[in-house]
Amino acid sequence: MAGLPCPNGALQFRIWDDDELSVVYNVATGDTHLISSIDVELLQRLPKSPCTTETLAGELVGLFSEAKHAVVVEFLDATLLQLQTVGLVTVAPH
Amino acid sequence: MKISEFTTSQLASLLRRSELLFTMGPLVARIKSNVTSLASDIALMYADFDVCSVDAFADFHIEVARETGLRRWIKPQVRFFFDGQPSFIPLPAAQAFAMLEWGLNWCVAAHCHQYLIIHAAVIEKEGRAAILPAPPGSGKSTLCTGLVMRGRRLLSDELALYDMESGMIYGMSRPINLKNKSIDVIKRFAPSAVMTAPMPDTTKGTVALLRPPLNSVLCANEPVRPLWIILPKYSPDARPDLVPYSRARTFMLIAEQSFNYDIQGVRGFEAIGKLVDQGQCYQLTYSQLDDAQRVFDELLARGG
Repeated sequence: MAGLPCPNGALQFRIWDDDELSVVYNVATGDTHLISSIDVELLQRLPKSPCTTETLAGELVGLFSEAKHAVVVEFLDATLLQLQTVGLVTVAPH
Repeated sequence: MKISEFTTSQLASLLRRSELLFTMGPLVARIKSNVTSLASDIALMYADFDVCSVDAFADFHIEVARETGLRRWIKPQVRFFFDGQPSFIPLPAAQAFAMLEWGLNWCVAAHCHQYLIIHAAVIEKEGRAAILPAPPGSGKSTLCTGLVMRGRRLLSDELALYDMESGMIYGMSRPINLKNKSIDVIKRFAPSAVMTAPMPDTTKGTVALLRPPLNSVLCANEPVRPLWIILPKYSPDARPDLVPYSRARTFMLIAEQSFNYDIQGVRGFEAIGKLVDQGQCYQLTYSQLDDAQRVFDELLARGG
């Protein structure tokens, strides 16, 4: 899957040091979502241009240092699908 | 002047002429009614509230009126009007005061968008305030009443008015809406509590309103900055248990329990974030009001 972040500044985050969960506000939809710390990492680190999950897994290798590449790709696919379902990322046309 | 300085017949006369205006914290309501029982209920429940002059600005122009037609001789009903327009379905005349209260809640929740309006109780003692946001059925009103009847100041039982600029919360110190078993629980817990006669068969079951304490009403215009956000959870036979609660989940609960979060946009998001940042978040499980009272006392004693 290819993930695109929402346009720069369109997501507002609230993150607490003492909480594994965070919230994000999507300016485009007006929706607020409860998200995990890995969701935050993905949404904040997604590149500004479309890329494949394979590429993304390579760029985020520091987060998953002990996991095999294929497992990371599978995990990112599932996570991005969830984020896509709630409108926090979009799939770029091939 | 206070409402208690008027006789019931004077109040009834003011109501008939649409000349009863009183303050509810930062807001003013003008009430009109030809329902006789409403004057005595207002006298009982709003005794300590300030009456405004007849030419004062009113945020809400409200009427609770008897329905006309043949039905009024068999099963009399009353209807709520806002700005002269009929609102909601009619209710039995015996529920006139509950209709006034629910109608006032709707007026605030649907119009006062200068505030983020949170469905929450707010109480204060020694300058330290707690906000208790919770969905229906969590025991929020019962817990709030129990704490208020033991000396805490009532700001809100239902609607917390959060000023998003200052981070302060205003209340209206209006009567507390008790339902079903809570009515007898509070009668046993605080025999001196002043309540309306129970109104059976409402959409919420049996309902009774409880008069807010004098000290709370006198301070109704003084906002607070909450130190704690506490999610109450009534659980039969449970021992009292106060545990830290996720700030993110607290944020989401407050957003869900806000009547106008959706229309505030990113301003509302930032405001709730500020509210959650500035306090400690807990969940309180309890079954006995005395236990909950002790938990709040201990929280106050350790200051955070």
